[in-house]
Amino acid sequence: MSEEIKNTQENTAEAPQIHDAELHAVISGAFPDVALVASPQIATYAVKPEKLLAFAAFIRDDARCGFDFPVLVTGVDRAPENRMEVFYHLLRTRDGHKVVIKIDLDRANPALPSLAMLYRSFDWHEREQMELLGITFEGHPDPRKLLLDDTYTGYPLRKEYEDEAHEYIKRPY
Amino acid sequence: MTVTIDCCEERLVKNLDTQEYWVNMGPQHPSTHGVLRFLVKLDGETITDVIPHIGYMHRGIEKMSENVTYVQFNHLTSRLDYLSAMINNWGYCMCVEKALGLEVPARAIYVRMIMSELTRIASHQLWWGVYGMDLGAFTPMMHSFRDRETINDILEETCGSRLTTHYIRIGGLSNDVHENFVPRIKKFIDGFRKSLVEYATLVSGNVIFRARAENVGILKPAVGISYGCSGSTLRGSGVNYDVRKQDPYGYYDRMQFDVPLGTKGDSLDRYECRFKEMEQSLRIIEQCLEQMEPGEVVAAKVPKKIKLPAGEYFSHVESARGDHAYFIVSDGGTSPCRLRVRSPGYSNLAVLPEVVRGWRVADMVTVSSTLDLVAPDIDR
Amino acid sequence: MGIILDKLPSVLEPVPGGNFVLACLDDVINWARSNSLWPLTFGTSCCAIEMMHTGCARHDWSRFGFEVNRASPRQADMIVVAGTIVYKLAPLLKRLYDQMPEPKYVVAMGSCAISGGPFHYNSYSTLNGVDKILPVDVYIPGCPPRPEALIHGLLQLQKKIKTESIKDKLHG
Repeated sequence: MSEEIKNTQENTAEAPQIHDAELHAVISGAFPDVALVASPQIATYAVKPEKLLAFAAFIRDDARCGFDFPVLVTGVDRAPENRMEVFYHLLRTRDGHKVVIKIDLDRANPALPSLAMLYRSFDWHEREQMELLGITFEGHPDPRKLLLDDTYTGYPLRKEYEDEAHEYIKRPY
Repeated sequence: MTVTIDCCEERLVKNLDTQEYWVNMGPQHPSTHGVLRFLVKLDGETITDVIPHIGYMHRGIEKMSENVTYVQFNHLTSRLDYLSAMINNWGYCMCVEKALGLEVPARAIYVRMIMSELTRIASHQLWWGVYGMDLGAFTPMMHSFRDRETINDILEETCGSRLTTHYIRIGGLSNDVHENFVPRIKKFIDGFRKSLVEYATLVSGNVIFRARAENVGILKPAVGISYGCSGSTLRGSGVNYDVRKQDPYGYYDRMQFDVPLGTKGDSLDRYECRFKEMEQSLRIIEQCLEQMEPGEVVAAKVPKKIKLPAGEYFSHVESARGDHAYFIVSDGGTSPCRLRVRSPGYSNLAVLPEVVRGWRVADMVTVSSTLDLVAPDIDR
Repeated sequence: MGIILDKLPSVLEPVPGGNFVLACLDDVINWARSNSLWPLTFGTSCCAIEMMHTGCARHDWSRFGFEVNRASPRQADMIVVAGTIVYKLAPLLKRLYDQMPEPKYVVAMGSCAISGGPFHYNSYSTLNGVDKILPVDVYIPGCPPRPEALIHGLLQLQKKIKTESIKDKLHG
């Protein structure tokens, strides 16, 4: 898949655009209930929290996939829609192909299994999302705070974060 | 005492043991590069465990991005990893440009590449000088800062700033290069090539340096990949992963350059990889200067109010430290819904306990120096 | 430009057997202190790089007396706060300052140390200015300030020290 500059067209068609046909064939063969999600640039798969560990292990270990390099874990707070999302970006070092795993979570109780033992880099990434957004990664070996100290209560990256203990001057543009 | 390093070993949080003792290194320390704190568990002089504590430079840039516009965020990217400020700017602008579908003019891309490679040389020179200082030698620092000053002069003449440059903007550049740009760079390249030979003789062949760097702090390739290390930290272990080659951006696919790889994964290999990258950067700059032609430096139709269509956008670049990535989640407004920055130092630091276990206290400083850490990059 | 060392205000009285110097005690103490300020190595972010540039060969600050960077606060005279201070680091900075022996001086270098800089608004963890926890003597604006600006600020600090007196409570 090459990173061309794509036109700004929303994928309003029924089937989302397939960015990586080979990979899609392999994944839909092994995991038929995992859906491809509409995304402008990278092949994104929506996985349920129960299936996450199996899917990630497949993506890493299967010879046809071989996505061994952990890039990012991002938690997104969609407050108006009352949900949260977690995106896992993975990459293949031999040719630079990327894949994204997306997990939808309920905002009241966001919990999903941790991939920290599969990809050791996600250990710290998940710790950061835990303390900044309040997402629970079950099975994480070391769920301490990483970037913030103990004077912070609440979750700073949530949209409704208010801070009494620290000076937080908000200036929207 | 030999300790075997396993790829996926369990990290348990232990209570403080009364037999071995903990030594606190940092956050204010003459050699941790920025404010990092290490809790080092020692058995005599041998390190049995290291727990890095970060967050002493966490400024909340990701939260700040949700209240500023896309154009206004650009100046913060150069303060993330200030030693590769131009490269960070480019990574962010590339993400927004790809999302908008903007076509950047060719001259702008060539200048971006030249600036990125100059920044890479400057960053590696600082690393080289500071590495020498960590080992106890003060001379490399003086030499390397002289080269840095020359590069800073070139950058300052064109974009006005020496360090935190805000030159690469969404759609191109902020202004065209100065008329002295090309002659000064040519003069710099000639002088620097000779200096590199001098530096190699000064440091790389030095007996004391080799004794402290050879076979010290070995990083196995599988461990490195699993921890997400990138840049010369990973290439020193023999893994051929360079964003400029695997996932080319700009015109890197038209450039002829090598990616130096190591074999054993020790400090010396990481050192040599980073050192040889500077020569390759000179090659890239020369090719860019040949291929560059006069023209526009800003894209034709950059919208006044930038609104990315709803969706997720990703881009990554090879900064001086490794794989630097931006992930923007947009819901259609003028500010991002979520902007996540992947800093290479974050993963390079996470691997430190695996690399340094079993070595002496003095090696702790030198091995963490070969990982090329910059604290604001780690903490954002 | 060369080394700056003001002439010691003095009267040299030649007397048989030797010279003696007659000067005001304040002037002698201030002259000695201002020309030999040893900074603490404390740089957090981008301004620290400009501070390193100031210490190196082109803009050498050891010409003015800031020769040795001491790593331990017990041995340092002044602290150049170069870089952003966040809430997690603030108690440690205060502790470093408390550990320094009198007379001690604080220079706030860069806009992050003066007022929070580019991170003043919308950041939940930046301390908006180091003068909220430390008494600052000289503010050096810039993001980052050029090495020449840093040297100018430090020379202003030297001038400020020369106006002190042992009758003052602090720095006396």
